Amino acid sequence: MIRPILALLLLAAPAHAERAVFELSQEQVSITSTFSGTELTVYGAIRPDPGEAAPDTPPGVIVTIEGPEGVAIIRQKTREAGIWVNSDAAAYAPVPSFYDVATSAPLADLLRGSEDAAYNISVPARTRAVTARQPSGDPQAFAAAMTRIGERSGRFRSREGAVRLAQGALFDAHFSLPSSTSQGDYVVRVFLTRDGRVIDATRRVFAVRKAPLERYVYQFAQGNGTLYGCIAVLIAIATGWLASVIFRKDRR
Amino acid sequence: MERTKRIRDVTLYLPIAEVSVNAWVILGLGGLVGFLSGLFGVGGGFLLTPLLFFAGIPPAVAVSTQANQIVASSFSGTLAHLRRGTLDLKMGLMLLAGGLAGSAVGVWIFNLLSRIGQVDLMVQLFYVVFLGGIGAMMFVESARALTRKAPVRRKRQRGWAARMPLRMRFRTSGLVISVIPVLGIGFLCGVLAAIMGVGGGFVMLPAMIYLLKMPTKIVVGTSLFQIMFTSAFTTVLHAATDHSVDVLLALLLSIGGVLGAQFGARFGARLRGEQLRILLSILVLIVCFKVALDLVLAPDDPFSFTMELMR
Repeated sequence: MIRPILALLLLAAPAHAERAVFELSQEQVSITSTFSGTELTVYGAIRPDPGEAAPDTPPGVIVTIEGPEGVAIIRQKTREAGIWVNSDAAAYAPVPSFYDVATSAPLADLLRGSEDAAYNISVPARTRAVTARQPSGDPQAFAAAMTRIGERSGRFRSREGAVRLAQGALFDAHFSLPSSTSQGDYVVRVFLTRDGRVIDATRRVFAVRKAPLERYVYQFAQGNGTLYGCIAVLIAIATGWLASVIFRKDRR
Repeated sequence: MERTKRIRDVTLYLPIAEVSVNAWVILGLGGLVGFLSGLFGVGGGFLLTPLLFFAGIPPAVAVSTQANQIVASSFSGTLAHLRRGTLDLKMGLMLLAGGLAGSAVGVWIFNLLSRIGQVDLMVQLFYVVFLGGIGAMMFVESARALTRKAPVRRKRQRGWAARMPLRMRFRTSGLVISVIPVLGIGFLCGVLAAIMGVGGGFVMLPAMIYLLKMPTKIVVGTSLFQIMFTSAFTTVLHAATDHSVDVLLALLLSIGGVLGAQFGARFGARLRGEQLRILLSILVLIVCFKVALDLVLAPDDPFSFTMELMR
């Protein structure tokens, strides 16, 4: 009898007014010809609102990074007449191409389900999207497959304890973006939580861009495909000819 | 120590594939496939495409870029065969004429199949049936030729190809045959190549050996000559339609490929025709077995996940 009342009281209690301020170790990531992924550190401080004393215990800290969004296509193979065939497919959009959640404690301890659904923080909550194509089979299985394969391939990550707290007021989290990082705008979000509720949410955008030469090649391939293809063939022929000349000289 | 490490991991970012790769791995893959290409006269796309998937290259980029690298290795191989006089230019041009017409029809059939759906499955079944049939046939024939004590010269019987009208002399191949079967084989190979998404060397080679009765050594050079044109055509087509040809990846593969092709062509010159044929048939059967296995074995995860970015 007492428990529900206690819970109600907690729910009604005003959240502590604390805010996070943070910085990124890189404001702009450039994809150059030797790019092989990059490291990014989010570091910051937790400050009580002016005139309020800092509580005894630090709040929970959650830091997320998400990549540009796209359409996720999930296909299912089934056995038909002895051979495995792609028989069913589902498509969801928009889904982030990369999503990494770092937390200062197990996510379930920091966040209750309703708050997760409101702020889209956990991997399943953030990657849930509009169904662009309904599978004919069980939709639950397709949604579960997206999370499962996404986590296995490192596209979606959930790292408990990856946010370090120091002196009760400073935090930092390390992220590594893979070499397959797509260019676009990346969003960093920082949440502070107390008693399973979000008390502060801030976001920041940083850009991942190709270096000028890489960008030029890409735009040329998109803009004038036929000419680009012809040049690619000419380069190949030149390479083949060069090798043949070198080998002929080598022979004499 | 520091320097050797730096040399060992040369990572390069590919502008179209949008991933970074170890340059040495790609050079090595190109070299391996180039060697086989120079040795057997096949383009090698059937091997390179799955190897590129393993290296982490997106499928669309892998399929189009390997066509570009085949241009380089087959051109290098063609020059090597031309110098050695193991290339029948006239025959190659005739096959090419038939092949271009055939690939146009093939692309039309491919689009028809994709409208019906299950085009991937059709391609895999084509692989198994054609590669399996051709590979088994070549294996039996060349094994029989090898087990014979003294290599008897196959007597050149006047086949059906010599009895048809519109006869032509193909001096390098030492044949006087009608152009109708030559154009027809070129056409059929073009159709199959377009449907299966490969250069067609696999179908062309046995057809030239067993149907046209060309000498095996001439077949290799002539096939490379023809593949050079079809792969150049495919590269431009892919670049124009789905923009998925990566020049940097192609260049790395080509450098490895042309070197490999030169070694392959030299190594091939030391082998006898039937030895070359049995090696090729074993390679064909291995690939066929692998494709068949993929169709029959249960996948690790029945679900797969791909992502298309919105731009």
